[in-house]
Amino acid sequence: MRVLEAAVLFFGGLAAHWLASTQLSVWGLAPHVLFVLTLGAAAAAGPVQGMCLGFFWGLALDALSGHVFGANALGFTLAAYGLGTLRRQMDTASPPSQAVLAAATAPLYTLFYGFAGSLFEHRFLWPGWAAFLLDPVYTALLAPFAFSAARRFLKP
Amino acid sequence: MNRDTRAANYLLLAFSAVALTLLILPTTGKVRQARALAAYVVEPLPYHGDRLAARLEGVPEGAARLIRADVELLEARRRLEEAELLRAENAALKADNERLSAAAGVKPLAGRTVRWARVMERDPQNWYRSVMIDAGEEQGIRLNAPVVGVEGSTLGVVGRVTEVNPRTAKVLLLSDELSAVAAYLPGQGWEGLVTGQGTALLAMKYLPVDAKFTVGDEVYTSPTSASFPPGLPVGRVSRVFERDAFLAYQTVEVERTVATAKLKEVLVLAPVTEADAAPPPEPPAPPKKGGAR
Repeated sequence: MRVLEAAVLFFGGLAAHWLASTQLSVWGLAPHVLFVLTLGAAAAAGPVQGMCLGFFWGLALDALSGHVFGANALGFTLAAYGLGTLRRQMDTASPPSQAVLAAATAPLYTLFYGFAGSLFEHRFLWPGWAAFLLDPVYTALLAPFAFSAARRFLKP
Repeated sequence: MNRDTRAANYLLLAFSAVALTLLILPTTGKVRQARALAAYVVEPLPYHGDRLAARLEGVPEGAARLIRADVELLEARRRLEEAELLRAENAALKADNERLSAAAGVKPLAGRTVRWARVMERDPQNWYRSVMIDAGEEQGIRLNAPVVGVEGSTLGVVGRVTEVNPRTAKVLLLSDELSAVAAYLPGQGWEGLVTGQGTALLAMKYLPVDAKFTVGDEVYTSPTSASFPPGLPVGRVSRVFERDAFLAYQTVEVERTVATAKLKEVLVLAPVTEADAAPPPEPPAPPKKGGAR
């Protein structure tokens, strides 16, 4: 992984997240851009690269959200480690499987963030049923593009 | 276990330890503070005006206090600038006022302590005798203080304070029979004594028998008045009585400049002093003959 390309991906991901959460938000729903990019990075380049990018993306997201600082960083790190370790046992190359992977893990990530809130902020950080059910769909639609971008920048 | 897997495991441990430390330590509040301050520095406009309270909701107290203080500071600076502009405008208006007052011959208030008061009560038994005003000793009103009123844009004599209570005062109107003020007609310079008649009209007495008067002649307070500053308009001649062969003087009827029946507010001046009485008024000619009071 070349550092410059990784940096471009990192900052491009942050810009994409800002764009998606402000300009592409529909009825308050927004895709988990940084989460799906972390999955893409882990699938494309392995757990180490995925965790490096995911941890700092998570920290950036924590700074923006203003809740349980460190929860996103931990969640993204765990997701990158899991997918990076298991990527050889599953199909992460085809767009449908990428969409399914994103749709399945996004709710788990939401629940993890909620539990982190109940542990460290004494309240479950629940985004609401609409966001819980529909954000993963939105994220799944975005997954092929995110995986493709990660593979393009993180060529092994 | 190959090298990549070992590196991934170590990295997982390291990142997880850092993330958990951040979660356990009270960093969230500090991050929120930093975030709020950064947001305010980048775009302060949404924090101004009525939106401040809404924007500071959920912001930790330290950052909220800083932002609020900065917003208040900017607001205070803005008001200070406005106050400076107002001060400059006020100075210009004051200069205009002094110039116009001098041109109109109304210069009695320069350097005098004045106080506005509302007319709160009239004496129903003696409508032209007195009025009560809503300022008294606590507001700096003193016994014998001259009281003037405004008719249109002209000041005119109303009466003087004869009773001072803590928060109210009684003004004896010039139209009362016991009231009198030394006055003169600037056109000819004759001086006389304007007295009340218990009606809306006043009488100016002790004028020389050979003097000629015209209806409409202006009457002003005299420099010899014990209560009033010189040069204040009293009224204008409304009728010249036929000469009485048995009297050594003649009398004219004076219509008041300020109609007391319409009076809502009055201006109470500090009692006249010898220094005030010394210089005669600028526009009118000096009186030829002395009078009472």
